[in-house]
Amino acid sequence: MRVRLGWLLGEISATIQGAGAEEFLNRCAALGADLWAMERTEADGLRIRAAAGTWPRLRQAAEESGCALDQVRRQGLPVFLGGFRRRYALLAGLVLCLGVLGVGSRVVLDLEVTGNETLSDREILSQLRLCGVGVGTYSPSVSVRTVENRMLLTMDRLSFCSLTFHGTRAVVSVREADPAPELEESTWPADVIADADGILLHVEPWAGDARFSQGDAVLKGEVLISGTMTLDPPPLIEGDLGTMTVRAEGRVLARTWRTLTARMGLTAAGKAYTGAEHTRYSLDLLGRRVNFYQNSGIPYAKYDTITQYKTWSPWGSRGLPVVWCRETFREYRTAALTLEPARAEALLRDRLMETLLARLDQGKVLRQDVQAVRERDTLTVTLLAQCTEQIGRTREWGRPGDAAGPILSDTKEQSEAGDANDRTDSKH
Amino acid sequence: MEKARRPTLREKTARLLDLPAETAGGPPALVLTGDRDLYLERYKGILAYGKEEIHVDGGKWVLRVKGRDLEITALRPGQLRVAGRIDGLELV
Repeated sequence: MRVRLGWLLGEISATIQGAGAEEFLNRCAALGADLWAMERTEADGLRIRAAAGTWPRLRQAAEESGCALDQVRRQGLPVFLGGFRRRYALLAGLVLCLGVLGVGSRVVLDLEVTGNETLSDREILSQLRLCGVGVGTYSPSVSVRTVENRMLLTMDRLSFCSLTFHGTRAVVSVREADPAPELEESTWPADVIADADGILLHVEPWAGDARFSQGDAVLKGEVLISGTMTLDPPPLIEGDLGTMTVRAEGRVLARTWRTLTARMGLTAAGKAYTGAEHTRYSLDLLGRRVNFYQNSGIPYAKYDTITQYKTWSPWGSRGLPVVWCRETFREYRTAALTLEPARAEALLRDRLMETLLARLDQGKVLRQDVQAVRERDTLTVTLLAQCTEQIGRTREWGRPGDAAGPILSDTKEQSEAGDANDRTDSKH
Repeated sequence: MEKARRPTLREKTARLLDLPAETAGGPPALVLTGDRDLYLERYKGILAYGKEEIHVDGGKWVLRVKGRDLEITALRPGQLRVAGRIDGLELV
């Protein structure tokens, strides 16, 4: 252990020659010079080891005791490091490395978002970059409280935001705000009208007077549950108590028939690749892009761009902000392409079915029939469906912008749309 | 007949207060570990140094360390460590 400590502190080996070797030792002790591993070499000789810094005291002790002192070797860490005193480039590199290490350990290289449910990481990171925090940001220069407040002010859907730096990693913890509930005006008078033609299967008025009962056929726009309620007099009392205006509510299930139509051209313009390609490269370093193609443009009028990113992830890391980007431009010409009728029909049928299901409110499709007609280069697909659905829709009285206006209770509601069928056209 | 040594003031004080002698900082202390290691404190100086015999000045007496392959492994002000095969110690 003494040897290793001596190496760390630096030690010298020396020989003493003279009759007063013991005197030399006593004077060294008096001068406070620590010695170790003293070995008699011959009658008047002595080999010693001492700390490198005690050499002047050893010389003083040798002079006072009349001995000859010769240094045999200097060794240890200070001696080793002293050999680099004049290697200025090495010292400069060492200082530069330490500086880069000190600064680099506080530069944000990785961003992590936690706590988000409906908001995507990309949205949050994009806003965070606008607030001044991104890959390559020097974290001590960031005012964390300011960034958090700006995030909350600019993103209404956040109720909490916390930014924490862990070395080169920045963690953004967020909590999303509950959406504000829709406040329904429950006192404004309204009717429940039919949203589609059909035969009523179930009428369930919660407020208001039902105008139709189960088994009745109704047209679109007819008042199913009226907001004008007739007050019945108590038993044994005759007279007319008049009416009361309420906001009609209820649930009306009906059997409906829906017809949806879609058209599609069988000839469409498509891409025909010529086989010519052009590739260029760039390097994204700490969020800064370095182009290797300088000012070269893209030599094609019409082209597809295929971009491939490769992130440098050494030693199993999550990836450093060094991204190699390869962009390939593939030229194409516009050419007329003919679609297969069967494939186009299946496509249109799926689209129509999706549209129908999106329109049904608490309903389901009982039967369906699909007709496809081809006229020249156009394919027309018609979906006929028998459904059960909730057709009651609340229509308020006399709201600003409501064309219906107040509806009297004894006025027969006319159908708003004479055409009983829905029609959906789509061209691709 | 050898004249008896008179105790010093420090030794008298330590004896009066019932304190260990080493706390008074008076005479040298020796710790011999087996026959391989000898540790001395509060010695005055080295009188002779050889592989078979080392003489240490203890103030009122001289300690003779006899043995083989003796070596002073550490020397500090007031502290001394001797290693080697120690055959005998003699106070003169």
